[in-house]
Amino acid sequence: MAAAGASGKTYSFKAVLLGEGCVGKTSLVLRYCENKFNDKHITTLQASFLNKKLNITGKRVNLAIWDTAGQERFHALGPIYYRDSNGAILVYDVTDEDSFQKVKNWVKELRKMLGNDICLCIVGNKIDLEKERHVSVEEAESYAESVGAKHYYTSAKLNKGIEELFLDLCKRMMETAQAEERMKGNGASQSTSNRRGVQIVDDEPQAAPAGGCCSSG
Amino acid sequence: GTKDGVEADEEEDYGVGLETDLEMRLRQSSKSQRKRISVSLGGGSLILPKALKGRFQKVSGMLSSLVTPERRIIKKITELSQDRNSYFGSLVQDYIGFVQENRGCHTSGMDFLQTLRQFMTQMKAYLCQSSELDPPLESLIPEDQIDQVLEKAMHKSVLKPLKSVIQGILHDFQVNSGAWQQLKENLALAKTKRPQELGVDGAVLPDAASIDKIRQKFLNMRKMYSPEKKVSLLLRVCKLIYSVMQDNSGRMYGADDFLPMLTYVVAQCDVPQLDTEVEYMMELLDPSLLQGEGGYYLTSAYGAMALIKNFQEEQAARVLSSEARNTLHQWHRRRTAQRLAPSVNDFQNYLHVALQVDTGCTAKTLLVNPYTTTEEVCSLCAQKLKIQEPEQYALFLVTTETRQQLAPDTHPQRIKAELYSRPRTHTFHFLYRKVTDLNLCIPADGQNGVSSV
Repeated sequence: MAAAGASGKTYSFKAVLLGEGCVGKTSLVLRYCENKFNDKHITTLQASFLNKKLNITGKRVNLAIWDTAGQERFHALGPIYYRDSNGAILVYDVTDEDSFQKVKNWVKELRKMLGNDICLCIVGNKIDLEKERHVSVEEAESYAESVGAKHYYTSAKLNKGIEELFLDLCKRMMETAQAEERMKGNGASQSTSNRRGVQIVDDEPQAAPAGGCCSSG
Repeated sequence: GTKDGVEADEEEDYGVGLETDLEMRLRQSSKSQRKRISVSLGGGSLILPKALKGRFQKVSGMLSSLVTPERRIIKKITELSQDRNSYFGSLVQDYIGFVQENRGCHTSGMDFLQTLRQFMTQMKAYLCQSSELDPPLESLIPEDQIDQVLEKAMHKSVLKPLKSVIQGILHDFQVNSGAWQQLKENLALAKTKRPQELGVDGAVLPDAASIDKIRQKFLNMRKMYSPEKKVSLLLRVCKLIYSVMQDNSGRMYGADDFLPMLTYVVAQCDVPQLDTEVEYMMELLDPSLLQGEGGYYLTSAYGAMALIKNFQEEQAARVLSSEARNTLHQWHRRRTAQRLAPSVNDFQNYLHVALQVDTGCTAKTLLVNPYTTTEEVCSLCAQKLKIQEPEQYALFLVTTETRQQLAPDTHPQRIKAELYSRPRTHTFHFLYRKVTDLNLCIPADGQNGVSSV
């Protein structure tokens, strides 16, 4: 999963974009990546896969955003897209109660399949249509809190809340990755693997140590 | 860009031998130049003006500098992988031999590919630690490039020689499980569906000519052995699909539109072999690349194939879901396995043995771990060859000067490791054959007294 490294290296994160068709997932990422396309990628002029390089508190971050097809018929393909994700952005349309229900289903599935390793963002999009809101602020926010997710409001149309959403997600993914690094650091050191030469595993206690049968002769 | 633009930048590079070709051409041209110079200089009749001679040298210097350190290392590793006298070479050749001779020892195509991937990952780890590469890698290329260079070298050393075998094994699994037939039927059915039935909504559809072009690209993919090159061809296909969808409108499409369109295109192309191609890329691509653009479109291609495979089922969603879940589980396993893995130990477990019987001599690669005794190896050989009187056979260590019968309680793998660890490795091999024929000095109490070796 996470990838990244010590101070000098770059963090690489994958965030998957989930939500019903028509909630505005595509417009959301397009807004975010506007004018910042990386011409190294062949298909960057599209919105299904986007890659963004960031600098957060002096650390380089490479964010890959994976869009998914939101129509119900593609739901079963979810796992192949969200596997190994560090974060998930679950988008619903504030004017559409059904789309919020879909988000709830995704949350359940993600927690079941990936546990707490993944940072969840629940995003109420289209707040420019406030008058037609069908999902209440209280309901959405308390639900997010109850499942350990953070809630955001955005409008792709007005370019509102989008930058904050992605920046916040990246910071959270960095915290998770750093915590994981610390865990690893405390574990057994793997420095022994740097020895040159080939080792034959040997569990007989009297066998020659380090190098064993290989180093003699 | 337009369709033509896409076609223009497509290069006919199949990832097969192109590098060698280039290198050969360079080597030939520089060699012929040198020859020409030496002939004219040595022949005496035509003395080359000094100035011209200098220019020739400059040209050949420029040509050789085209062979980058990366290329040189890949070439060197590939050569080492073919040299049985090196430990690396013996590991690679034994593994290749094992795959060629034991097609049936895996439970599925995915299982087989995962073993291959693990082998390459572990050989990379070995090369990083080993002193067999001289000068060491770090002295030739920057540290952050080592991994990708090793990856290419492993493709060339392992995947290239095994290309047709791998293709055969994967296809056999598909045929034997009935999946091949099912896939062909489903593709035929999906091909008859209207785009709307596959979820396509709005975007411009590719015409017959574009479908043809894409089908050709899928077929070309089969000629490549490098998973990375296959992926970059897949990306070209996706780019072509996007540019048709856009039709110069400048509209950006997300997955809601792209995935159904890709499914439609795959159905129209009707290339059932694409399924094993996707599996090959999924399992063998350097795991660090799976998170990038290549990984994304590969995942989409996998998704499109999965949709088509389950097309007939009324309960498609349910079936697909359990399949996808299973796949996820497999990937999870692979990832964790890789985290714990880097150790060469598993792949030290092959032993190449020459087998000599009355009817002739063959060689087999056997699964022999460090604790396996000579006695056990002998009974394995007897089994393979269906020997009637196994007690008359033994395992010998044969070097250029000596032949030594190995005692039943010795461990051939340890002997092999011992020999390779010596400062100068001598050529040697293991030989399984009748004892009596060899023991000329010991008077045989019977029939085989005078036979010569």
